[in-house]
Amino acid sequence: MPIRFEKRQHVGRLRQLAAIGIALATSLLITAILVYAAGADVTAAFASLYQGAIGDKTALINTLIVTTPILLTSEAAVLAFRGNIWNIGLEGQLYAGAMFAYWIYASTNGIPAGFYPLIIILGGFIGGGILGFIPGILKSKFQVDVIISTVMLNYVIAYFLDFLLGSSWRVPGSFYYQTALIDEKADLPLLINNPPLHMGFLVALIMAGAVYIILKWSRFGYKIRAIGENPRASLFKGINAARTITIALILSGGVAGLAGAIELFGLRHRLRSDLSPGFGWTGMMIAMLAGRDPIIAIPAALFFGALENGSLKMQITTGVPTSLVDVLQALVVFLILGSQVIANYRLRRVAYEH
Amino acid sequence: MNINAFLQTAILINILASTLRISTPLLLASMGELVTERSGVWNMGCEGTVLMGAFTSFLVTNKTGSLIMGTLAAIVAGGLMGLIMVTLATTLKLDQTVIGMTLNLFASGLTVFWYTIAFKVGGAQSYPSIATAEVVKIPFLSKIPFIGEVFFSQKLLTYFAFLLVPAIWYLLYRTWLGLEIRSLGEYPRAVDMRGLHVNRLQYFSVLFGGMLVGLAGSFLTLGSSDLFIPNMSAGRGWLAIVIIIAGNWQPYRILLVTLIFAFLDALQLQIQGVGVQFPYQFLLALPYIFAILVMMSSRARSNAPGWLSTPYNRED
Amino acid sequence: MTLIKQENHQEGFPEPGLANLTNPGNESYEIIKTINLTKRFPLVLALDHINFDLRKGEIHALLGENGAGKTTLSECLYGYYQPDEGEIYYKGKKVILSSPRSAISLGIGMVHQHFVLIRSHSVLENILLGTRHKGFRIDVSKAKSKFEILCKDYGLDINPDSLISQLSVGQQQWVEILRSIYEGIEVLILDEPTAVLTPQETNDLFQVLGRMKNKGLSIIFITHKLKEVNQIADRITILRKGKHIVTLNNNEISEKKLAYMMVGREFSIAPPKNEFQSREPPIVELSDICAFNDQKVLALNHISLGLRPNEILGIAGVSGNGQKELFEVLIGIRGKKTGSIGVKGKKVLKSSPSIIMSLGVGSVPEDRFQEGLIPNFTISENLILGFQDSPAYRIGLFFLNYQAIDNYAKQCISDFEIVANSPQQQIQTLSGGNIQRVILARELSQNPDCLIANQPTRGLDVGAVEYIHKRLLELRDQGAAILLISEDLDEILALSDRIAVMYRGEILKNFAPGEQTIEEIGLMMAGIRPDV
Repeated sequence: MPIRFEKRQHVGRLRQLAAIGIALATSLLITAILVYAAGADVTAAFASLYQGAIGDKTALINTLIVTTPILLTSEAAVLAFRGNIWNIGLEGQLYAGAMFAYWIYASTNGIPAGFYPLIIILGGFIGGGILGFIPGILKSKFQVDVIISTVMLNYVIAYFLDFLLGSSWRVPGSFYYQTALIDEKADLPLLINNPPLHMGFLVALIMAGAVYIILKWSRFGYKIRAIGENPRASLFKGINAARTITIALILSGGVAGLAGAIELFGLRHRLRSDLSPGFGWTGMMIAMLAGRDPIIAIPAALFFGALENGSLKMQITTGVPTSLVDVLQALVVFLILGSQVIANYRLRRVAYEH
Repeated sequence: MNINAFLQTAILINILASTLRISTPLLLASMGELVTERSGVWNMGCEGTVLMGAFTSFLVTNKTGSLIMGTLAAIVAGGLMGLIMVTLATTLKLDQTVIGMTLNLFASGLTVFWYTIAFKVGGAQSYPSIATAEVVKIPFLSKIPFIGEVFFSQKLLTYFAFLLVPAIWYLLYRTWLGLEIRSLGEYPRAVDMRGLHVNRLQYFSVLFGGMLVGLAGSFLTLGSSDLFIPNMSAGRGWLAIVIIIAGNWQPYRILLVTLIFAFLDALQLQIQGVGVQFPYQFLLALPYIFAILVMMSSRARSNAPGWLSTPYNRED
Repeated sequence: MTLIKQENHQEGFPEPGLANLTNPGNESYEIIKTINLTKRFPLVLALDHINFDLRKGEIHALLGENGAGKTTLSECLYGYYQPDEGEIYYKGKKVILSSPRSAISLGIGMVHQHFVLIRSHSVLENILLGTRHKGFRIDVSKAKSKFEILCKDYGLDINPDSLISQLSVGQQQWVEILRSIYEGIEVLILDEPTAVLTPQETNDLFQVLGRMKNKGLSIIFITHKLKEVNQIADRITILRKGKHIVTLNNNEISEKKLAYMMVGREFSIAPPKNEFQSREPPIVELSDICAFNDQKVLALNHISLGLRPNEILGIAGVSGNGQKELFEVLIGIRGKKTGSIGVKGKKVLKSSPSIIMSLGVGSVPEDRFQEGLIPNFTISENLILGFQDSPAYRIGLFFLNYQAIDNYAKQCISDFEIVANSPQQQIQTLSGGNIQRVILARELSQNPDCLIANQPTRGLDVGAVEYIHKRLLELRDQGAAILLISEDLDEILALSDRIAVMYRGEILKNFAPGEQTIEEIGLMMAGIRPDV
């Protein structure tokens, strides 16, 4: 067809915002349609969604609880994605962190209770970091594509966990693949008792700040941004891409591992295969939506967390399935990314046809 | 472990027949994704497409009672997923990895949502089943002892999947269209400079690939399970991507790799069933470890389409 | 889209090669003619009202330097570009070539300088791609026999099943040519076909071109090499900066005259006096360097150079003769090279770019945006690119001292007269001249002992050019060794203390500016070796 996209020279702020606005409006519209298809009352659905998300104090705190892991994974994604390092292994790194922290917990005795938070945090970070290190080395030494190695490791770790949960980590005598309930002394301290907002939320916020500081203020962050923006110029000026990528993957994996350890010791208290209902994937979407910016990722993560949380009430009140929100999240990503492209480009009739 | 029991023919037949059955969706998905990838698009949404195929075929078959309608629905669903992919990747030039991942999440959410609202009996959730496809015994051939039971007593889609391999080989290597598709994936500029329609080729390849991947999904419901379970694609779409890599983007190698992986899967099922104490998870993890090892050897990557996952701009 | 269909082109498979032609040896006519052909690109007027004609059965050479417009003219004749003004006539009828496909159907074929071949595919697959066909299935045997007939006609020996990656560059050239004539053409455009050929391969090519010409094929032959023009062309057209300069018959030319017209210098520029006649030992020494380019062709052929303090060595030559690879070798990013490189006595052949930088070698790359800076970064951030680990910009072990960096940036902005609002400005908003000042500031602030500059003033306005020249001369006076690679002979003559002419990966001669005339330099640039 004799039309094609041509990049505009200057994109006004207004145009960009308008594009985002249209995208959000479209998502709302489609959501309304889906709600209608579910046979529910549209206003009631939106109202209950809102209520469940931030309608009262309890809802708000629950939203924060739900946001904690996805804020961490989105920051992990931001850190790597800024260097165009496609760490698709956040799910696996999350589990690796949880597993490593759990292993330390399970293999040690007589640790004073006050030390546990430190162990959990370190354990989570190291576990995830190891799983980030592997793709890094594979890329540096063997040029193995980061996307592939990280995805493959997701599965390897999942099966490894399954194996452990079925054998040495299993609750003795139980039919289910799960560990015993974690001792209370190892639980992450709570900030608020009811609902159980745990320290992990603060850790997540701190991590968001850390990623921001790393990217903006550190030498290493400079290098990540440089190879992400212009790998060729970075090569010309002596920046060691292989080393930068490896370190980025270790850090990114570490933050994701932190998410796993914190979720385990802060909220779930029992290690099972379903520790993460897709936190890693959601984190990646949030990172893309936030334009790979660590600060914008915070409200973006809160937004996703609010939707997730509110959907529960929406289902109870109006019967609209919670999975609506999963659809909505994907749609928002498509629409916003697509709208920005459309804002940046314009349609042009081409003079000739092939 | 009782070797005798294990080697009993019945068990062996079971394993081999299962191998072919398990290969079916993998072959369909990897053949479809192969065409897409040979045209230069890396559709990471393969997993989601399989899931959409499984769901739509289940839904339509349940509502219409017709297996054929269900199969067609899966093909259409797969094509639509491919359409989204190629539009966003080729025309809007968004990053293919991001599109793929989002497609997966989209499919995951949409299928659960749609299932929930489509199957309600008097306000309560129901979990219907469908009548799955029958085994189609090839006359005469299926009577051959051992071989007949393994090879010629499969479902229709299985026969189709295996016949698809030489068909795709022929398409890619012996037809004009195949030459153009492969050239597009290697060096789009060459295709453009010879006056061919780059966009048309791209759209066709990804759509065609998507349809086959959707078809793969239909086998999971219409051909195997009579239920639909959330995320029942269970990594098969990703496995297809792995298989393509391990098979070095060549149809017959992909067939071989698929059979190996399917065999391992059939084997571990048997082991689980027999109750042997063996970390079957290791067998399940093998394909993925194997894929990494393959990627580490530089010879293996030699056949990846040269322009895979990179959008083409005429001005570059 | 209007397209004049060729009446005597049949549908389906045309005869292989050139059999479609009307009687060769008939009285010649203008098969292609352009009137006032003009093509503009965003930054440059590539073709400026060109009147050109090609006679049937002739070999017509298009001569000129880089940027003269030769390739642009050809791309217009091939339908890849559409002219902004002017007309094209084919066999007397006006045509509009909207795409290569239209050119091909008329019988115009083109072989580009940079091959558009698919390396992992076979010869046959490359030739068949895009050809007219009937049906779904490729008739491989029919195609192969047609291919073999073509090969026999021209005495070529290429296996249709070989992969392109297995062929030598000369053979790949043949594949490109065969691809053009496979569907039957009357006009063949060759863009710098001998750029990558050995002398023997060049002779083979000319023999075959001669045979084609005798069969009635009309050929446009783009080159910057004078010797070849003499050998093979019937007529020569010289372009310079988008304008048509002259068209001559072969018997009207001499090499000297051609060089003069190509280069177009009317006067010799006296180089500024250099008080320090540098006799010191070189800071950077290249010995016997051989290196390959990205197409795996030998780009540097036993190069030896010495860069001395207080000296600007200018590398003159048409782009594409190994300058890019020379630059990349010197800064350490081109792997797979042999020979030896010494910087201040240290052997750095296998060293990484960061080590070479740490030894005091600075660089100004050819492509400002792709190779020189990070577009989304601020001026400050670009000023420390490559030097971000230096203690001067650090707080503690991990962090950057942006205050120190901004101060440094402010200093640079004032020292180098950069027009910018603040160091936090994004660099892509600056003009070309200012961007180059930033790059220069970055390199010069490190007080390099050696600077490698590749086309430092390309695309800049007069003021910026003057400024950069000034700074380069200052740097030299302070004791640095400078390697200046430039297509602009004026620039080379104005700045260099010594000049080396590069041609096909070799240094033809290394001399002081006064020792050679402009014409002689022009000849060397075009490949005529000087009488040593």
